[in-house]
Amino acid sequence: MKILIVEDDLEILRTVLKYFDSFGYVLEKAKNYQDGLAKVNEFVYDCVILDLNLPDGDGIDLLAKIKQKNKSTGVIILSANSSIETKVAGLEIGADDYLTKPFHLSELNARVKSVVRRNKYEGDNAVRFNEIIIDTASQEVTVHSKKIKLTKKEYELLLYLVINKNRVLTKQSISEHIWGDFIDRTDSYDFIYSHLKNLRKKIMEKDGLDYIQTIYGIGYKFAEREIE
Amino acid sequence: MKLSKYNLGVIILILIASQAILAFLLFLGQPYFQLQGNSFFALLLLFFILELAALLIYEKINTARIKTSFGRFIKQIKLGNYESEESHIIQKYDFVNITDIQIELSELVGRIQADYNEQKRYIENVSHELMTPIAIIRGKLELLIQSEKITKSDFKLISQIMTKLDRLTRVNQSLVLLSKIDYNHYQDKATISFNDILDETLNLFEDQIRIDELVIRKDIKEDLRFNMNENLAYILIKNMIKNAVIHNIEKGYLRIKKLEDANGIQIINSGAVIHASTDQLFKRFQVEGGYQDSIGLGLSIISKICEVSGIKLTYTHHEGVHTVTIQF
Repeated sequence: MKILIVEDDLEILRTVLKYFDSFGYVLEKAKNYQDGLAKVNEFVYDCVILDLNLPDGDGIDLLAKIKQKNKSTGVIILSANSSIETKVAGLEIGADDYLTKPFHLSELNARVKSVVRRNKYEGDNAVRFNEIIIDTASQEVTVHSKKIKLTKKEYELLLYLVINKNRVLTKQSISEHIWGDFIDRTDSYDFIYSHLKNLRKKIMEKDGLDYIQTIYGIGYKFAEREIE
Repeated sequence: MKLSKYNLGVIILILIASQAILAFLLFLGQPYFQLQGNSFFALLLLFFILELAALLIYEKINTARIKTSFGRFIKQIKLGNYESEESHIIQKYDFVNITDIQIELSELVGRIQADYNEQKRYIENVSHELMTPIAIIRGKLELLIQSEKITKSDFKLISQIMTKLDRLTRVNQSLVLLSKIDYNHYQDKATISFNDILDETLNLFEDQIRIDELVIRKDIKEDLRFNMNENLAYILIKNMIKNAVIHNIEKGYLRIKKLEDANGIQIINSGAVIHASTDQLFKRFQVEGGYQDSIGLGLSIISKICEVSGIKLTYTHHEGVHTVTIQF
């Protein structure tokens, strides 16, 4: 998967690159509008992460050029401006998603995956982790080819964890992903716990392994357990 | 019709000047027209009357125009709407020739408009400038926790930093929202159906409601409609329900009903017995009832939205029963 990040803030650029590095993506970076335009004209990307506030040009304009060149390139706008109007403007001219700073890296990763999945013509809709297969088109989950019935929240939780597999996910990021940024209550961490407990039970009932690890005080990680 | 001294003077001056020119022209053209003395003066008089009538009609139209223009100007000042597309509102209002007060007023509005734009830019900049470093800190912490070398006690420290960083983000977002409402950012209005928003919001809080075992009762049969900004309507209802849920007690209740004798919604919920006056609670950063996660801006946001949308808001609490009423 080929991803271009157009962002003038070097620290954000570096942080995103570092997080994405270990997922095996092909990453390209552009520090400004001209740089971004040159890269977009030269290569085809699966996804472009685009900051709207660029020093030498309008991000919205670059977005239009990306879409003009290749419709199936997914574009995720990254902006410090949370105003609804900009969000609407961005989506109207063809951005696939919109993320406001400050964002969680795990959330950005989930959005990238989702946008790329949606934009592929005959894409593989399955997200796999060993015996667990999540079909994102039908929203069905199987463990060892046996279907398990999940609630909407359990499904979203599982998909979020698997997409960010082998990464420690903070409780804050999970909470925001499932409930949005409006439910800002420490108690929502209790909800995560109870939904995860049910999810774990349902997976293990079909002889799936327990991949959900609790990271003390911080959050959770979906990974193969090390043999101790 | 009242004419100002200035306008009257201008009219008389125009009349005298044009009469003189006409008389001079007629005098020059006399050999060709062959006018007698009487018809000469009759012609002059006819022109005089026609001219006077034309000038008075013009003046009347002009005054009416200025009045409307001034009326619009005053209305705009009252509304506090300085979001005009033009860089200076004053240029749009042509009443400089009425009195000095109007000139002063125009200048004042110009200054207010400049201040307003300055402040708007400032708020936008502050929000942008804060959000980027917060995003960087958050990202770096997310990278840090991926490290294998971190001990349990380090995780605890990082977790505490993250919690505070989240709070900082929320305070910043809420303050930005408050100033946006203050500066008429949310102008577009539409007819809002409140029943849907209430249901949607209750859905959002279903986990809290389930865990705290709250009893919910919604007594709204017919739909409630009101003309206001859609975003603000959502934020208003979310904040009202959120307050009623998070400041509730275990196995408490939450009741939503339509006002009997007016168009409006009342939310009644069980909660802690508090002693602060309701006026106090509407102030920013005022947190009562020992709820640690609250940033104390919810009620300020509710009250600000009601203020700009023309909604009457009342809040009372008595021995653990809290009632918030919004009346359209």
